[in-house]
Amino acid sequence: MEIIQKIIQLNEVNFSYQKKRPLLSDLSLQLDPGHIYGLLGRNGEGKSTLLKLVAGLVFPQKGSIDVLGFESRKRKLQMLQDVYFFPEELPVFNLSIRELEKIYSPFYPQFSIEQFNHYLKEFDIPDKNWNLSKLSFGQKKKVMIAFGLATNTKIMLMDEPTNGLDIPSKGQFRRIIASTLEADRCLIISTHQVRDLDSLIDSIIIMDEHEIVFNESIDVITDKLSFKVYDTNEKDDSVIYFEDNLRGYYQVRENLNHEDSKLDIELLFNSILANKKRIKNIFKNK
Amino acid sequence: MNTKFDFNRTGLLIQRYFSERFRSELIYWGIMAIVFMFIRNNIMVIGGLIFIAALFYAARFFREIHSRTNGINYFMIPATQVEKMTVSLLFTIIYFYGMMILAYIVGNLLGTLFTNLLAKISFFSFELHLFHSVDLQWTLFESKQYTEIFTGELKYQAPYIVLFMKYLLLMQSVFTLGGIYFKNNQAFKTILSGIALLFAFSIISILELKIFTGTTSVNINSAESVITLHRVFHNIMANVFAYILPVYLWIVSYFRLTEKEV
Repeated sequence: MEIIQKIIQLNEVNFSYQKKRPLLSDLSLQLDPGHIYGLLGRNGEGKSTLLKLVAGLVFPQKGSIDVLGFESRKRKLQMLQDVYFFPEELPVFNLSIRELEKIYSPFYPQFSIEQFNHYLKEFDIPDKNWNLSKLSFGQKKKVMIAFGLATNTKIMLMDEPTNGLDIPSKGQFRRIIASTLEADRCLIISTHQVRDLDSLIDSIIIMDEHEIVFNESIDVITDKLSFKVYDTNEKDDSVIYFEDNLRGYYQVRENLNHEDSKLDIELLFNSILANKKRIKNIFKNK
Repeated sequence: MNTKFDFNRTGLLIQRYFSERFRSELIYWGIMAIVFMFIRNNIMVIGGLIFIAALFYAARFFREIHSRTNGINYFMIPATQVEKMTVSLLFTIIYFYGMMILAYIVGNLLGTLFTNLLAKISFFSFELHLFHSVDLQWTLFESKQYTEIFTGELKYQAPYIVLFMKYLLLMQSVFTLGGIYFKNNQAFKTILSGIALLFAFSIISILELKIFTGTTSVNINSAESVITLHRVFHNIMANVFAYILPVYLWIVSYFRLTEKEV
Protein backbone atom coordinates (compact mmCIF):
# COMPACT_ATOMS: atom_id res chain seq x y z
CA MET A 1 0.00 0.00 0.00
CA GLU A 2 1.38 3.38 -0.99
CA ILE A 3 1.42 5.83 1.89
CA ILE A 4 1.64 9.50 1.00
CA GLN A 5 4.05 11.23 3.35
CA LYS A 6 2.38 14.64 3.58
CA ILE A 7 -1.32 13.96 3.26
CA ILE A 8 -2.28 17.61 3.78
CA GLN A 9 -0.05 20.58 3.16
CA LEU A 10 -0.95 24.23 3.61
CA ASN A 11 1.57 26.80 2.48
CA GLU A 12 1.34 30.41 3.68
CA VAL A 13 -2.42 30.42 3.46
CA ASN A 14 -4.29 33.68 3.91
CA PHE A 15 -8.02 33.70 4.30
CA SER A 16 -10.68 36.19 5.34
CA TYR A 17 -14.44 36.44 5.06
CA GLN A 18 -14.25 40.23 5.27
CA LYS A 19 -11.48 42.20 3.61
CA LYS A 20 -10.41 44.09 6.70
CA ARG A 21 -10.58 41.17 9.13
CA PRO A 22 -8.09 38.44 8.23
CA LEU A 23 -9.00 35.09 9.72
CA LEU A 24 -5.90 33.15 8.79
CA SER A 25 -2.58 34.80 8.05
CA ASP A 26 0.36 33.05 6.41
CA LEU A 27 -0.72 29.76 7.86
CA SER A 28 1.49 26.79 7.05
CA LEU A 29 0.77 23.28 8.21
CA GLN A 30 1.75 19.75 7.27
CA LEU A 31 -0.21 16.73 8.37
CA ASP A 32 0.87 13.13 8.06
CA PRO A 33 -1.14 9.95 7.67
CA GLY A 34 -1.53 7.58 10.59
CA HIS A 35 -2.47 10.28 13.09
CA ILE A 36 -5.52 11.63 14.86
CA TYR A 37 -5.08 15.36 15.20
CA GLY A 38 -7.02 17.41 17.72
CA LEU A 39 -7.62 20.92 16.44
CA LEU A 40 -8.19 23.34 19.30
CA GLY A 41 -8.74 27.07 19.56
CA ARG A 42 -11.03 29.70 20.93
CA ASN A 43 -14.28 30.63 19.20
CA GLY A 44 -13.76 32.46 15.93
CA GLU A 45 -10.11 31.44 15.55
CA GLY A 46 -10.83 29.76 12.24
CA LYS A 47 -10.87 26.05 13.12
CA SER A 48 -13.96 25.26 11.05
CA THR A 49 -12.65 27.46 8.26
CA LEU A 50 -9.37 25.56 8.29
CA LEU A 51 -11.28 22.30 7.84
CA LYS A 52 -13.33 23.85 5.03
CA LEU A 53 -10.16 25.06 3.33
CA VAL A 54 -8.75 21.54 3.42
CA ALA A 55 -12.02 20.15 2.03
CA GLY A 56 -12.02 22.73 -0.78
CA LEU A 57 -15.28 24.28 0.38
CA VAL A 58 -13.69 27.72 0.72
CA PHE A 59 -10.64 28.97 -1.15
CA PRO A 60 -7.56 30.73 0.19
CA GLN A 61 -6.98 34.29 -0.97
CA LYS A 62 -3.25 33.60 -0.92
CA GLY A 63 -1.11 30.50 -0.57
CA SER A 64 -1.79 26.94 -1.59
CA ILE A 65 -3.47 23.88 -0.12
CA ASP A 66 -2.45 20.46 -1.29
CA VAL A 67 -4.60 17.51 -0.27
CA LEU A 68 -3.50 14.02 -1.36
CA GLY A 69 -1.59 15.64 -4.19
CA PHE A 70 -4.52 17.73 -5.41
CA GLU A 71 -5.20 21.42 -5.11
CA SER A 72 -8.14 21.39 -2.70
CA ARG A 73 -10.09 24.25 -4.35
CA LYS A 74 -10.44 22.21 -7.55
CA ARG A 75 -12.51 19.57 -5.71
CA LYS A 76 -11.21 16.84 -7.99
CA LEU A 77 -13.09 13.57 -7.98
CA GLN A 78 -10.08 11.58 -6.73
CA MET A 79 -9.72 13.96 -3.80
CA LEU A 80 -13.43 13.91 -2.92
CA GLN A 81 -13.41 10.11 -2.94
CA ASP A 82 -10.79 10.20 -0.21
CA VAL A 83 -11.99 13.08 1.95
CA TYR A 84 -14.99 12.92 4.25
CA PHE A 85 -16.13 16.13 5.89
CA PHE A 86 -18.29 15.84 8.95
CA PRO A 87 -19.80 19.30 9.60
CA GLU A 88 -20.97 20.61 12.95
CA GLU A 89 -24.47 21.16 11.57
CA LEU A 90 -25.75 18.16 9.69
CA PRO A 91 -27.48 18.37 6.32
CA VAL A 92 -31.19 17.70 6.14
CA PHE A 93 -31.75 14.24 4.70
CA ASN A 94 -35.25 13.02 4.11
CA LEU A 95 -34.00 9.47 3.75
CA SER A 96 -33.95 6.28 5.74
CA ILE A 97 -30.55 4.99 6.88
CA ARG A 98 -30.88 2.20 4.30
CA GLU A 99 -31.52 4.74 1.53
CA LEU A 100 -28.56 6.82 2.71
CA GLU A 101 -26.37 3.74 2.39
CA LYS A 102 -27.85 2.80 -0.99
CA ILE A 103 -27.52 6.26 -2.55
CA TYR A 104 -24.35 7.67 -1.03
CA SER A 105 -22.13 4.65 -0.45
CA PRO A 106 -21.45 3.88 -4.16
CA PHE A 107 -19.75 7.27 -4.45
CA TYR A 108 -17.01 6.03 -2.11
CA PRO A 109 -14.97 3.19 -3.64
CA GLN A 110 -13.69 1.97 -0.25
CA PHE A 111 -17.07 2.01 1.48
CA SER A 112 -17.67 -1.05 3.67
CA ILE A 113 -21.25 -2.05 4.44
CA GLU A 114 -20.01 -4.48 7.09
CA GLN A 115 -18.21 -1.67 8.88
CA PHE A 116 -21.25 0.60 8.59
CA ASN A 117 -23.45 -2.09 10.15
CA HIS A 118 -20.88 -2.66 12.86
CA TYR A 119 -20.59 1.04 13.75
CA LEU A 120 -24.37 1.43 13.78
CA LYS A 121 -24.59 -1.49 16.18
CA GLU A 122 -21.87 0.03 18.37
CA PHE A 123 -23.82 3.28 18.44
CA ASP A 124 -27.05 1.47 19.37
CA ILE A 125 -28.83 2.27 16.11
CA PRO A 126 -30.71 -0.97 15.55
CA ASP A 127 -32.97 -0.22 12.59
CA LYS A 128 -31.82 0.91 9.17
CA ASN A 129 -35.39 1.78 8.23
CA TRP A 130 -35.35 4.75 10.59
CA ASN A 131 -35.80 7.99 8.73
CA LEU A 132 -32.96 10.44 9.34
CA SER A 133 -35.29 13.41 9.47
CA LYS A 134 -37.16 11.79 12.37
CA LEU A 135 -34.09 11.06 14.47
CA SER A 136 -32.79 13.20 17.31
CA PHE A 137 -29.73 15.37 16.64
CA GLY A 138 -27.50 12.96 18.57
CA GLN A 139 -28.81 9.87 16.77
CA LYS A 140 -28.44 11.56 13.40
CA LYS A 141 -24.90 12.46 14.32
CA LYS A 142 -24.12 8.87 15.24
CA VAL A 143 -25.48 7.61 11.92
CA MET A 144 -23.42 10.14 10.00
CA ILE A 145 -20.27 9.36 12.01
CA ALA A 146 -20.82 5.66 11.31
CA PHE A 147 -21.31 6.40 7.61
CA GLY A 148 -18.27 8.67 7.45
CA LEU A 149 -16.01 6.12 9.07
CA ALA A 150 -17.32 3.36 6.81
CA THR A 151 -16.34 5.37 3.73
CA ASN A 152 -12.72 4.54 4.62
CA THR A 153 -11.52 7.81 3.15
CA LYS A 154 -7.88 8.66 3.75
CA ILE A 155 -8.84 11.97 5.32
CA MET A 156 -11.64 12.51 7.77
CA LEU A 157 -12.39 16.05 8.85
CA MET A 158 -14.67 16.30 11.87
CA ASP A 159 -16.05 19.55 13.18
CA GLU A 160 -17.32 19.25 16.76
CA PRO A 161 -18.32 15.60 16.33
CA THR A 162 -19.19 15.04 19.99
CA ASN A 163 -21.53 18.03 20.34
CA GLY A 164 -24.98 16.70 21.03
CA LEU A 165 -23.83 13.18 21.90
CA ASP A 166 -24.88 11.79 25.26
CA ILE A 167 -22.27 10.49 27.74
CA PRO A 168 -22.35 6.80 26.69
CA SER A 169 -22.20 7.82 23.03
CA LYS A 170 -19.07 9.88 23.65
CA GLY A 171 -17.38 6.77 24.99
CA GLN A 172 -18.59 4.77 21.99
CA PHE A 173 -17.31 7.52 19.72
CA ARG A 174 -13.84 7.38 21.26
CA ARG A 175 -13.71 3.59 20.99
CA ILE A 176 -14.85 3.52 17.38
CA ILE A 177 -12.55 6.32 16.25
CA ALA A 178 -9.56 4.69 17.92
CA SER A 179 -10.36 1.42 16.13
CA THR A 180 -10.49 3.03 12.68
CA LEU A 181 -7.03 4.59 12.60
CA GLU A 182 -4.81 3.03 9.99
CA ALA A 183 -1.36 3.84 8.71
CA ASP A 184 -2.67 5.64 5.63
CA ARG A 185 -5.52 7.48 7.32
CA CYS A 186 -5.56 10.92 8.89
CA LEU A 187 -8.30 12.23 11.16
CA ILE A 188 -8.60 15.85 12.17
CA ILE A 189 -11.06 16.56 14.95
CA SER A 190 -11.93 20.13 15.77
CA THR A 191 -13.59 20.53 19.14
CA HIS A 192 -14.11 22.57 22.26
CA GLN A 193 -14.93 19.44 24.23
CA VAL A 194 -11.30 18.62 25.00
CA ARG A 195 -12.23 15.95 27.55
CA ASP A 196 -13.87 14.00 24.73
CA LEU A 197 -10.52 13.73 22.97
CA ASP A 198 -8.68 12.36 25.99
CA SER A 199 -6.78 9.21 25.12
CA LEU A 200 -7.97 9.48 21.54
CA ILE A 201 -5.81 11.98 19.70
CA ASP A 202 -2.09 11.58 19.24
CA SER A 203 -1.26 15.10 18.10
CA ILE A 204 -2.52 18.50 19.09
CA ILE A 205 -2.84 21.57 16.89
CA ILE A 206 -3.72 24.84 18.62
CA MET A 207 -4.82 27.96 16.81
CA ASP A 208 -4.55 31.39 18.35
CA GLU A 209 -4.69 34.86 16.84
CA HIS A 210 -5.27 33.48 13.34
CA GLU A 211 -2.26 31.21 13.25
CA ILE A 212 -1.10 27.78 14.31
CA VAL A 213 0.77 28.35 17.54
CA PHE A 214 1.27 24.73 18.48
CA ASN A 215 1.47 21.45 16.55
CA GLU A 216 3.03 18.59 18.47
CA SER A 217 2.50 14.92 19.13
CA ILE A 218 1.36 13.79 22.58
CA ASP A 219 4.66 11.94 23.10
CA VAL A 220 6.67 15.08 22.51
CA ILE A 221 4.33 17.12 24.69
CA THR A 222 4.60 14.78 27.68
CA ASP A 223 8.34 14.57 27.15
CA LYS A 224 8.72 18.34 27.31
CA LEU A 225 6.00 19.20 29.81
CA SER A 226 4.63 17.63 32.95
CA PHE A 227 1.05 17.92 34.13
CA LYS A 228 0.51 17.33 37.82
CA VAL A 229 -1.75 18.13 40.75
CA TYR A 230 -0.02 19.30 43.90
CA ASP A 231 -1.28 19.68 47.43
CA THR A 232 0.59 22.90 48.00
CA ASN A 233 0.96 25.91 45.81
CA GLU A 234 4.75 25.87 45.71
CA LYS A 235 6.19 27.19 42.51
CA ASP A 236 9.64 27.30 41.00
CA ASP A 237 11.07 28.49 37.70
CA SER A 238 9.92 25.35 35.87
CA VAL A 239 6.24 26.21 36.37
CA ILE A 240 4.74 27.52 33.15
CA TYR A 241 1.11 27.64 34.18
CA PHE A 242 -0.99 26.86 37.22
CA GLU A 243 -4.61 26.66 38.22
CA ASP A 244 -6.12 25.93 41.60
CA ASN A 245 -9.42 24.25 42.21
CA LEU A 246 -11.08 22.00 44.79
CA ARG A 247 -8.90 19.01 43.91
CA GLY A 248 -5.61 20.85 44.38
CA TYR A 249 -3.08 22.92 42.52
CA TYR A 250 -2.72 22.03 38.86
CA GLN A 251 0.62 22.88 37.37
CA VAL A 252 2.20 22.63 33.98
CA ARG A 253 5.94 22.49 34.31
CA GLU A 254 8.84 22.20 32.00
CA ASN A 255 9.67 18.50 32.24
CA LEU A 256 13.35 18.89 33.03
CA ASN A 257 13.60 15.53 34.84
CA HIS A 258 11.66 13.61 32.13
CA GLU A 259 9.01 12.47 34.57
CA ASP A 260 5.97 10.57 33.34
CA SER A 261 2.67 12.41 33.52
CA LYS A 262 -0.73 12.23 31.87
CA LEU A 263 -1.50 14.99 29.41
CA ASP A 264 -4.29 17.34 30.45
CA ILE A 265 -5.40 18.91 27.18
CA GLU A 266 -7.37 21.69 28.83
CA LEU A 267 -4.40 22.66 30.98
CA LEU A 268 -2.09 22.53 27.97
CA PHE A 269 -4.45 24.73 26.00
CA ASN A 270 -4.70 27.32 28.76
CA SER A 271 -0.97 27.32 29.38
CA ILE A 272 -0.26 27.90 25.69
CA LEU A 273 -2.65 30.82 25.53
CA ALA A 274 -1.15 32.26 28.71
CA ASN A 275 2.50 31.63 27.96
CA LYS A 276 2.87 31.17 24.25
CA LYS A 277 6.41 32.44 23.92
CA ARG A 278 7.91 30.25 26.60
CA ILE A 279 6.23 27.11 25.33
CA LYS A 280 7.41 27.87 21.81
CA ASN A 281 10.97 28.12 23.14
CA ILE A 282 10.68 24.83 25.00
CA PHE A 283 9.50 23.01 21.87
CA LYS A 284 11.93 24.75 19.57
CA ASN A 285 14.67 22.27 20.41
CA LYS A 286 12.82 18.93 20.20
CA MET B 1 -12.25 4.76 -13.28
CA ASN B 2 -13.39 7.60 -15.46
CA THR B 3 -12.46 10.82 -13.73
CA LYS B 4 -14.25 13.14 -16.16
CA PHE B 5 -17.71 11.70 -16.72
CA ASP B 6 -19.23 8.48 -15.53
CA PHE B 7 -22.78 7.36 -16.26
CA ASN B 8 -23.02 5.37 -13.02
CA ARG B 9 -22.17 8.39 -10.90
CA THR B 10 -24.55 10.55 -12.94
CA GLY B 11 -27.26 7.95 -12.40
CA LEU B 12 -26.56 7.99 -8.67
CA LEU B 13 -26.89 11.77 -8.60
CA ILE B 14 -30.26 11.48 -10.34
CA GLN B 15 -31.33 8.78 -7.90
CA ARG B 16 -30.19 10.99 -5.00
CA TYR B 17 -32.35 13.84 -6.25
CA PHE B 18 -35.46 11.68 -6.58
CA SER B 19 -34.98 9.95 -3.25
CA GLU B 20 -34.53 13.18 -1.33
CA ARG B 21 -37.24 15.20 -3.05
CA PHE B 22 -39.79 12.63 -4.10
CA ARG B 23 -42.59 14.09 -2.00
CA SER B 24 -41.97 17.72 -3.00
CA GLU B 25 -41.80 16.67 -6.67
CA LEU B 26 -45.12 14.91 -6.36
CA ILE B 27 -46.72 17.98 -4.77
CA TYR B 28 -45.16 20.35 -7.33
CA TRP B 29 -46.41 18.42 -10.36
CA GLY B 30 -49.76 17.71 -8.73
CA ILE B 31 -50.30 21.46 -8.31
CA MET B 32 -49.23 22.03 -11.91
CA ALA B 33 -51.78 19.48 -13.18
CA ILE B 34 -54.52 21.17 -11.13
CA VAL B 35 -53.57 24.61 -12.50
CA PHE B 36 -53.64 23.21 -16.04
CA MET B 37 -57.20 21.98 -15.43
CA PHE B 38 -58.29 25.61 -15.32
CA ILE B 39 -56.05 27.23 -17.93
CA ARG B 40 -55.78 24.37 -20.42
CA ASN B 41 -57.13 26.22 -23.44
CA ASN B 42 -55.44 29.60 -23.05
CA ILE B 43 -52.09 29.36 -24.76
CA MET B 44 -50.81 32.73 -23.49
CA VAL B 45 -51.48 31.74 -19.88
CA ILE B 46 -50.03 28.27 -20.47
CA GLY B 47 -46.85 29.84 -21.88
CA GLY B 48 -46.61 32.27 -18.96
CA LEU B 49 -47.11 29.47 -16.47
CA ILE B 50 -44.43 27.30 -18.08
CA PHE B 51 -41.85 30.08 -17.93
CA ILE B 52 -42.66 31.14 -14.38
CA ALA B 53 -42.67 27.51 -13.23
CA ALA B 54 -39.33 26.95 -14.98
CA LEU B 55 -37.87 29.93 -13.15
CA PHE B 56 -38.96 28.71 -9.75
CA TYR B 57 -37.95 25.14 -10.54
CA ALA B 58 -34.41 26.17 -11.46
CA ALA B 59 -34.15 28.46 -8.43
CA ARG B 60 -35.42 25.67 -6.17
CA PHE B 61 -33.03 23.17 -7.75
CA PHE B 62 -29.98 25.24 -6.88
CA ARG B 63 -31.15 26.35 -3.44
CA GLU B 64 -29.20 23.42 -1.98
CA ILE B 65 -25.81 24.86 -2.91
CA HIS B 66 -26.49 28.11 -1.04
CA SER B 67 -27.39 26.37 2.20
CA ARG B 68 -24.40 26.03 4.52
CA THR B 69 -25.16 22.49 5.60
CA ASN B 70 -26.67 21.07 2.43
CA GLY B 71 -24.10 22.95 0.32
CA ILE B 72 -21.29 21.14 2.11
CA ASN B 73 -23.02 17.85 1.40
CA TYR B 74 -23.52 18.74 -2.28
CA PHE B 75 -19.96 19.83 -2.96
CA MET B 76 -18.42 16.96 -1.00
CA ILE B 77 -20.24 14.27 -2.99
CA PRO B 78 -17.54 12.46 -4.93
CA ALA B 79 -18.73 13.26 -8.44
CA THR B 80 -17.19 15.60 -11.00
CA GLN B 81 -18.51 19.12 -11.53
CA VAL B 82 -19.41 18.10 -15.10
CA GLU B 83 -21.60 15.30 -13.74
CA LYS B 84 -23.27 17.61 -11.23
CA MET B 85 -23.88 20.23 -13.92
CA THR B 86 -25.21 17.63 -16.35
CA VAL B 87 -27.70 16.40 -13.78
CA SER B 88 -28.87 19.94 -13.09
CA LEU B 89 -29.42 20.53 -16.83
CA LEU B 90 -31.20 17.21 -17.22
CA PHE B 91 -33.56 18.08 -14.42
CA THR B 92 -34.20 21.71 -15.23
CA ILE B 93 -34.66 21.15 -18.98
CA ILE B 94 -35.57 17.64 -20.08
CA TYR B 95 -37.20 16.38 -16.91
CA PHE B 96 -38.90 19.72 -16.24
CA TYR B 97 -40.35 20.04 -19.73
CA GLY B 98 -41.33 16.38 -19.88
CA MET B 99 -43.14 16.61 -16.57
CA MET B 100 -44.72 19.89 -17.60
CA ILE B 101 -46.17 18.23 -20.73
CA LEU B 102 -47.36 15.30 -18.63
CA ALA B 103 -48.98 17.68 -16.12
CA TYR B 104 -50.63 19.49 -19.04
CA ILE B 105 -51.99 16.22 -20.47
CA VAL B 106 -53.31 15.10 -17.09
CA GLY B 107 -54.71 18.56 -16.29
CA ASN B 108 -56.31 18.86 -19.73
CA LEU B 109 -57.95 15.43 -19.54
CA LEU B 110 -59.17 15.93 -15.97
CA GLY B 111 -60.29 19.51 -16.66
CA THR B 112 -62.32 18.47 -19.71
CA LEU B 113 -63.73 15.44 -17.92
CA PHE B 114 -64.85 17.43 -14.88
CA THR B 115 -66.30 20.23 -17.00
CA ASN B 116 -68.36 17.72 -18.99
CA LEU B 117 -69.48 15.93 -15.83
CA LEU B 118 -70.52 19.23 -14.26
CA ALA B 119 -72.33 20.22 -17.47
CA LYS B 120 -74.67 17.29 -16.95
CA ILE B 121 -75.61 18.46 -13.46
CA SER B 122 -78.51 20.86 -13.05
CA PHE B 123 -78.04 23.43 -10.36
CA PHE B 124 -81.00 24.48 -8.24
CA SER B 125 -84.55 23.78 -9.33
CA PHE B 126 -84.30 26.16 -12.28
CA GLU B 127 -82.38 23.65 -14.39
CA LEU B 128 -79.59 26.18 -14.43
CA HIS B 129 -76.54 24.84 -16.22
CA LEU B 130 -73.42 26.61 -14.97
CA PHE B 131 -71.13 24.47 -17.10
CA HIS B 132 -71.33 23.59 -20.77
CA SER B 133 -70.02 20.51 -22.50
CA VAL B 134 -66.67 21.11 -24.21
CA ASP B 135 -64.58 19.16 -26.69
CA LEU B 136 -61.14 17.99 -25.73
CA GLN B 137 -58.57 20.40 -27.17
CA TRP B 138 -54.81 20.08 -27.24
CA THR B 139 -53.86 23.75 -27.41
CA LEU B 140 -50.24 23.17 -26.43
CA PHE B 141 -49.72 20.81 -29.37
CA GLU B 142 -51.40 23.05 -31.94
CA SER B 143 -49.69 25.35 -34.45
CA LYS B 144 -50.59 28.94 -35.09
CA GLN B 145 -51.39 30.01 -38.65
CA TYR B 146 -49.89 33.25 -39.91
CA THR B 147 -49.56 35.21 -43.13
CA GLU B 148 -46.07 35.75 -44.52
CA ILE B 149 -45.71 39.52 -44.64
CA PHE B 150 -43.92 39.75 -48.01
CA THR B 151 -45.41 36.87 -50.00
CA GLY B 152 -48.88 36.84 -48.46
CA GLU B 153 -48.63 33.05 -48.10
CA LEU B 154 -50.48 31.25 -45.30
CA LYS B 155 -47.99 29.42 -43.13
CA TYR B 156 -47.94 27.42 -39.93
CA GLN B 157 -45.62 28.12 -37.06
CA ALA B 158 -43.97 25.22 -35.28
CA PRO B 159 -46.34 23.79 -32.64
CA TYR B 160 -46.41 25.78 -29.40
CA ILE B 161 -44.79 22.90 -27.57
CA VAL B 162 -41.71 23.26 -29.82
CA LEU B 163 -41.74 27.06 -29.74
CA PHE B 164 -41.92 27.12 -25.95
CA MET B 165 -39.06 24.64 -25.71
CA LYS B 166 -36.90 26.92 -27.85
CA TYR B 167 -37.52 29.90 -25.59
CA LEU B 168 -37.40 27.77 -22.49
CA LEU B 169 -33.80 26.83 -23.29
CA LEU B 170 -32.84 30.48 -23.22
CA MET B 171 -34.86 31.23 -20.12
CA GLN B 172 -33.62 28.11 -18.34
CA SER B 173 -29.99 29.01 -19.01
CA VAL B 174 -30.60 32.44 -17.49
CA PHE B 175 -32.37 30.87 -14.51
CA THR B 176 -29.59 28.34 -14.05
CA LEU B 177 -26.99 31.07 -13.88
CA GLY B 178 -29.23 33.11 -11.57
CA GLY B 179 -29.86 30.08 -9.38
CA ILE B 180 -26.14 29.44 -9.00
CA TYR B 181 -25.06 33.07 -8.82
CA PHE B 182 -27.54 34.58 -6.37
CA LYS B 183 -27.44 33.44 -2.77
CA ASN B 184 -30.95 34.49 -1.70
CA ASN B 185 -34.23 35.15 -3.52
CA GLN B 186 -32.76 33.66 -6.67
CA ALA B 187 -36.03 33.76 -8.64
CA PHE B 188 -36.73 37.41 -7.86
CA LYS B 189 -33.19 38.58 -8.51
CA THR B 190 -33.03 36.62 -11.77
CA ILE B 191 -36.25 38.28 -12.96
CA LEU B 192 -34.83 41.71 -12.11
CA SER B 193 -31.60 40.91 -13.92
CA GLY B 194 -33.64 39.55 -16.85
CA ILE B 195 -35.57 42.80 -17.08
CA ALA B 196 -32.29 44.75 -17.06
CA LEU B 197 -30.98 42.43 -19.77
CA LEU B 198 -34.13 42.85 -21.87
CA PHE B 199 -33.75 46.61 -21.54
CA ALA B 200 -30.19 46.31 -22.83
CA PHE B 201 -31.35 44.12 -25.74
CA SER B 202 -34.04 46.67 -26.60
CA ILE B 203 -31.40 49.36 -26.85
CA ILE B 204 -29.32 47.05 -29.07
CA SER B 205 -32.39 46.48 -31.29
CA ILE B 206 -32.96 50.22 -31.59
CA LEU B 207 -29.31 50.75 -32.46
CA GLU B 208 -29.57 47.90 -34.97
CA LEU B 209 -32.56 49.58 -36.60
CA LYS B 210 -30.75 52.88 -36.64
CA ILE B 211 -27.75 51.30 -38.39
CA PHE B 212 -29.75 49.47 -41.07
CA THR B 213 -32.62 51.85 -41.68
CA GLY B 214 -31.22 55.16 -40.49
CA THR B 215 -34.24 55.60 -38.24
CA THR B 216 -35.51 54.25 -34.97
CA SER B 217 -38.99 53.49 -36.33
CA VAL B 218 -39.86 50.77 -38.86
CA ASN B 219 -41.49 51.89 -42.07
CA ILE B 220 -42.94 48.88 -43.85
CA ASN B 221 -43.04 50.75 -47.14
CA SER B 222 -39.34 51.63 -47.14
CA ALA B 223 -36.92 49.94 -49.51
CA GLU B 224 -37.45 46.17 -49.37
CA SER B 225 -33.75 45.39 -49.71
CA VAL B 226 -32.97 47.31 -46.52
CA ILE B 227 -35.75 45.55 -44.65
CA THR B 228 -34.65 42.15 -46.01
CA LEU B 229 -31.08 42.87 -44.91
CA HIS B 230 -32.39 43.88 -41.54
CA ARG B 231 -34.53 40.73 -41.32
CA VAL B 232 -31.55 38.52 -42.15
CA PHE B 233 -29.51 40.19 -39.44
CA HIS B 234 -32.43 39.92 -37.06
CA ASN B 235 -32.84 36.20 -37.79
CA ILE B 236 -29.16 35.63 -37.15
CA MET B 237 -29.41 37.50 -33.85
CA ALA B 238 -32.56 35.57 -32.89
CA ASN B 239 -30.82 32.25 -33.54
CA VAL B 240 -27.75 33.37 -31.65
CA PHE B 241 -29.92 34.19 -28.66
CA ALA B 242 -32.00 31.03 -28.98
CA TYR B 243 -29.21 28.49 -29.39
CA ILE B 244 -25.79 29.97 -28.70
CA LEU B 245 -26.56 32.13 -25.70
CA PRO B 246 -27.96 29.20 -23.64
CA VAL B 247 -24.79 27.18 -24.26
CA TYR B 248 -22.67 30.18 -23.32
CA LEU B 249 -24.67 30.72 -20.12
CA TRP B 250 -24.41 27.03 -19.19
CA ILE B 251 -20.64 27.24 -19.57
CA VAL B 252 -20.59 30.36 -17.39
CA SER B 253 -22.83 28.55 -14.86
CA TYR B 254 -20.47 25.59 -14.86
CA PHE B 255 -17.47 27.74 -14.03
CA ARG B 256 -19.48 29.63 -11.44
CA LEU B 257 -20.40 26.29 -9.84
CA THR B 258 -16.77 25.18 -9.73
CA GLU B 259 -15.83 28.44 -8.02
CA LYS B 260 -18.70 28.40 -5.58
CA GLU B 261 -17.68 28.49 -1.92
CA VAL B 262 -19.80 27.33 0.99
